[in-house]
Amino acid sequence: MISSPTLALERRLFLFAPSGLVAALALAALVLAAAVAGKGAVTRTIAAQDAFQTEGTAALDEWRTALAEIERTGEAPSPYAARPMSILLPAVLPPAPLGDFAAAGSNLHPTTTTISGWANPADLFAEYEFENPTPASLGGLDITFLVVALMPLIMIAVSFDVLAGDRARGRARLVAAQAGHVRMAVWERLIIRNAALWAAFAIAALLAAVVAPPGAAMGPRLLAFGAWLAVALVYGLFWFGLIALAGALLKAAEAVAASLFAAWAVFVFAVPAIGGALAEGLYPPPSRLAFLSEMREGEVAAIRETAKLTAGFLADHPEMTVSDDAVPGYYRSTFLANREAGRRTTPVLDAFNASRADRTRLVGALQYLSPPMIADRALTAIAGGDVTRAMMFQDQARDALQDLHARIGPAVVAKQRISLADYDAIKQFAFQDRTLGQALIGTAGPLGFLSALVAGLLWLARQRMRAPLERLL
Amino acid sequence: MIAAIALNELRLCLRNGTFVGLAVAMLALIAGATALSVQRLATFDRERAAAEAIDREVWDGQGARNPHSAAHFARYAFKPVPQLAAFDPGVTDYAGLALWMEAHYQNPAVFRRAEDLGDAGRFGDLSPAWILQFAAPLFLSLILFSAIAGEREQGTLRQMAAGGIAPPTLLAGKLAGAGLATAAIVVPALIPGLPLARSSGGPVLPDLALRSGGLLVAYGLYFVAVGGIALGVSALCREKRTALIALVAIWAVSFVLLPRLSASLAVTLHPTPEAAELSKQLREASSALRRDTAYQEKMEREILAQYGVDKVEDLPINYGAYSLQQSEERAHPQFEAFYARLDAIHGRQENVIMAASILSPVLALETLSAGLAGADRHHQRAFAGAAEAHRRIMIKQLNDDLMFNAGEAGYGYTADATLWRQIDDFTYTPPRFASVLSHYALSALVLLLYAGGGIAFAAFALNRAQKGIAA
Repeated sequence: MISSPTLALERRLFLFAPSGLVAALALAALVLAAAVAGKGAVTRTIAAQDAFQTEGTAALDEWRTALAEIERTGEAPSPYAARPMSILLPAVLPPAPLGDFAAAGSNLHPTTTTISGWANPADLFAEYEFENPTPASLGGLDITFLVVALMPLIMIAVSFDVLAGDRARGRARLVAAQAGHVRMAVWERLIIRNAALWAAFAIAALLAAVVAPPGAAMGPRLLAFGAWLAVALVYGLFWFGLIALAGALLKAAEAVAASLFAAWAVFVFAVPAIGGALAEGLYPPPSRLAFLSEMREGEVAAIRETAKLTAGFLADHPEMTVSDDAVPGYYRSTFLANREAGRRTTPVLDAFNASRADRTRLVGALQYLSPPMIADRALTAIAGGDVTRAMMFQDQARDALQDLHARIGPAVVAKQRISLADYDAIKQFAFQDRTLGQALIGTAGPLGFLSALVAGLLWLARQRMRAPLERLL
Repeated sequence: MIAAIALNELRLCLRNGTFVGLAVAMLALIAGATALSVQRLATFDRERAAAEAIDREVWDGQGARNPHSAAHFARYAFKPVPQLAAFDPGVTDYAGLALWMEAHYQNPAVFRRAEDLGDAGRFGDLSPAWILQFAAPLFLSLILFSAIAGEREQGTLRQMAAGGIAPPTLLAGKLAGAGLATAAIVVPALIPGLPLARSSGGPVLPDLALRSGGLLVAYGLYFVAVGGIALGVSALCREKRTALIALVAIWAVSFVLLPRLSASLAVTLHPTPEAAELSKQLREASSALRRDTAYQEKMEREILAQYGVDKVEDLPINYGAYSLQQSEERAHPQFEAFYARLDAIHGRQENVIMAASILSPVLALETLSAGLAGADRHHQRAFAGAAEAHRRIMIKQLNDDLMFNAGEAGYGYTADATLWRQIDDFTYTPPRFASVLSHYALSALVLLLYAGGGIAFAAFALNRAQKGIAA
């Protein structure tokens, strides 16, 4: 329970003072600005994905109608009609329930693709690199970044001189001389200031969560928001503990401020940047260009073999070269060539993914050196803006591609159409998202470490505050 | 007198444990970043050279094929990363490294390194430029926050005023001192990087010396601006701690928050259409001829008239190959329009960022620095443009071979390594800075104004401080 005199003092010094009001209002405005940017990005993605899926579904319906007609009449209007190679399944990665909370940077990875007999695992994702690299290189502003990078700064700015300022002005001695509880007052003032700040943030964030992008399921969204806010609060407690400890350890206000700002710069920027560079130096990502070279070598080898099968067909323009009777043969040869290219490049792709996973594990270990990294990874994972989710989509799309190839392959190679029943058995792609619990599992260890760090810092700060008054003052 | 003040400042810095600690950390950070950047650049160049060699080998060794099938297999253009990117990688990680020059399509560049960085690169990529742009201003703020406020607290500002030291002299001395302290850290860390970068094997920019000089001037102006602002704030504040808080707040808002806010604002106000939509537009651009039956008929009439025959079977050339080439040429203006539209959106996004540079000098410096290093979007566009020009020549060569040599074989015609070897490798030289200068004029002006404004602000604040003492 906060004592009335402290509350009255803080009301005058911070809560209703220009500095406190400006801090709270600026924070709320930034959260809302980040929310608007995140929602805009998610809404655009949803609209484009809807259009993509609608178009793809319409084409599939048309294809199915043609097949049904062929089955009914026993006659095909054209050799191209309802061929299994023309099954083009749209696949999309829908934004996560809380995706707008970690939208910055998530537009680097593909969120749509078309699964068909024409694609192989290596070239399934193409033509998505249209983003302007300039804003991408600056990094965007989302609510997660605000929590991780900005909240600590504002917490430091409003709290660093709670004890040191009272010391410098002699107010702490005055309180002590009047038999007041200096330590309790310091804790209370720290709590009031930071709680007010977090309340302003939480209200703005809750507003952002409630005003969801179109089509977002509110239940999962609010559940994710609850977990997200809980992690954010634990992270806030880390900085609270650090501020309290620095205030108790250092006498001069500028020393407290300088050390806390230095800690912020080291944790938020230096460690992640150095860690990233270190990971790259120790475990360099496999060369994409080398991957490309191997893929091309595989493709050209497949082409050489396929040349025998295609017997001079001009693979890319059947309408010019292939007679109606030869269409199934053309499909067969291109399907086989494509499978061969896929077969040869899949090990390269696997090695590439494995190497990336090794690197991610190293960065995962390095996060223990920086609480902001722990918080950022956990918050981004809960919001669904993490790379892991983007990779899940790619993996699932490749699995779906393999499944489609297995289902249509025999018919394509036998120069036949598939039956309507076989077509209906082909599953439309639907991204299997992980549950909130699954997203949290990977972050449990680091979050446990962060919680222990919080407890340790608060305990240390408390111990330090319990020092004799003459040392504290 | 200026030299005496500057040397005294430097001496005080060297005696200050905090400064020494910060200086060692900065020195290590810059040296480490330089070494890593040079290593990364060398890797880029090695990988590019290897990929180019394999691309040639695979191309030449593809065996006998129809030339148009070969045009679909096509070749890749690999972007050379200029040596100065070791200092400032700019957008290198966010722009594609390779461009597939296939028939019918003007593809976007692929393989963005940032896609492979995972979640590690969210807070910044370690490079010498990143440190100078973001960490150095904080460093300058930390060594200058007490420059005037501290003198005032200790009463020495009054002594200096009484001793006849004019505000401009004090300002110049303090700035020179901070400049010397910064140079003492930055120069030793960066100097070894230059010969290392030169030996890393990256392509030499045609005007490397001019660009390097430009970088020196740009960063010099930036530090003068930051130093001036820091001194001015220190002079305006009565207490050191107020100056420190004010400077860190300015740094956090102007150097950390605003760049990200401006980037978000830019893509919110001028969103790039979604990839699925753009990909569809690209496919439509590619099939411009196929969708235009009137033009197909006109094209047929014209070629028949040109050769004085009545039907395509009587043409001495392969009409299919002719159609393919016409299809290419019909798509060229469509691709140009597509990329011009995309470029305009990107340009508008960058205008928002440029407007924000009025409040955040680091944005002006980032634009100018990446441009001077040859590692920004304009240089990426130049690369893509060169690759497209090469693609058009290559595809025409292949279509022409089919058109003129297919003869009786028709579509069954195949070419061999003799033709493949006639296809040149893609070579690219980044544009001279003078030719792209107009993109950076505003950034340079903003930096210049910041430097002048910073000095004026510091002079004003110092005058005010000394008058305050005299009063």
